[in-house]
Amino acid sequence: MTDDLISKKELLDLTGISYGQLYRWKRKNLIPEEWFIRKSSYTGQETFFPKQQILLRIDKILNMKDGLSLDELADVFSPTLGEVEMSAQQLLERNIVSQISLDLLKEAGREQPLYVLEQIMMLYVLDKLLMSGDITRQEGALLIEVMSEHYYRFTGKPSELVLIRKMGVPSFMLVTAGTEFYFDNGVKVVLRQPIGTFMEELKLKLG
Amino acid sequence: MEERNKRNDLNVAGISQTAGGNFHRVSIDGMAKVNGNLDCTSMEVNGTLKMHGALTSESATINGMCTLNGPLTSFRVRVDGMTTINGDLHSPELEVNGKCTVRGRVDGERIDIGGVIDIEGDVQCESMNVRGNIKISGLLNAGTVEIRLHTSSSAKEIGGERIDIRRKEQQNGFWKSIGLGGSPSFKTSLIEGDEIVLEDTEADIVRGSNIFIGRGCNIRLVEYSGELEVDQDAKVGSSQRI
Repeated sequence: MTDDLISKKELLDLTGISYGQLYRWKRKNLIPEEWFIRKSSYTGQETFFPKQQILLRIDKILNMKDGLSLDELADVFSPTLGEVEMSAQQLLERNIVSQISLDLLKEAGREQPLYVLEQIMMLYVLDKLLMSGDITRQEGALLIEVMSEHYYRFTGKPSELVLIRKMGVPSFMLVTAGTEFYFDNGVKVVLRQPIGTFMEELKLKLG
Repeated sequence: MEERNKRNDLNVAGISQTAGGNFHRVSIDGMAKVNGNLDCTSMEVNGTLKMHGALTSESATINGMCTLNGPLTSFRVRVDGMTTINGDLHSPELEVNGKCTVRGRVDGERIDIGGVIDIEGDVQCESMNVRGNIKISGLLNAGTVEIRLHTSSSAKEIGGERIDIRRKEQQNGFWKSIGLGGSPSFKTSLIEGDEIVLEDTEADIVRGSNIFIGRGCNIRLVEYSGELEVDQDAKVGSSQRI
């Protein structure tokens, strides 16, 4: 467990940010409250962070800071959904999804005149995974199904998308972030990605 | 705002009990008890108010006595009397010249304390300006903290960009004459910030880039990355450049 944590002092050393910046980002909710983990150490109480997550987040803040205000950044990182509505045409024009994903959605019978953020994200995830060759078209149809049926249950909560295959038969799962799961030997976990990262990318594209 | 203009006013001049609800202006001059949530444009208490529920308003001024058993959300809050909030306080502008006790957390932009405030939870704001007496049992996280010590104050931890705690130039008038609250001092376990200036402060650890430890301080450990200056009237256990 301790390997996955980083102390506040080490973090500042590593990233070169100051106490002031760290506290400002905390105030602006760029760093979630639950990442500040208080533990006692030999110097008294100290604050630790989940190492992977905080380093990734700080890297993102530092890289995006110039273009966006802190408040806009906070929107990007918040797991809640904003109010966006876009037609298929707009999505294509703004290069958010490609025709292939839209066609797939049409085949699944879930085509709509206007898409809200939740659905745009589903298309975006689908598109990214298809384009990167991680999933097949058939698996894409499964993804549409699981996301449209169950994603609402995770609104505002961190979740992960998991794809497993057993003897070539694919299956998608939506799980709470950080959940542990185990399978029998024949199962291969093809893909495991936090939905939040897709959402952050998408919000930047939309914003 | 538009919608709120269509609402009725609530005026209490004698002794009264109400169930709460939505109002435009609320003015309490006598004694009132509100058994429920209250949503209003402006709230003014000159008498005594006891509330069981959440208070939401655009501005709230309390001159008398007020006890809220629930959270307070407002754009402006001014306390000149005595107020106890058994819940969270959320207000971009908070001014306390009387006495205010909050048994939850405080979120704001500008906080000005001229009187006494006692907060059990964390405090988050952009600027905190104190010319009175504060006691914070949680973490004070603010862009700038400026405290002029009158009596003994404390916070569990302070973190921010600029932290400036000094004794008030000359001790005069009210606080000294009533001899309340003890000598000017500030007690905390941890201070972390970019620019730190301290006087009469007792702390376990102070961390930052540019630090000035002034007279009357007693600090166990100082860690700094920029410059450190220690007054000869200050006690510093050990200091370390990081």
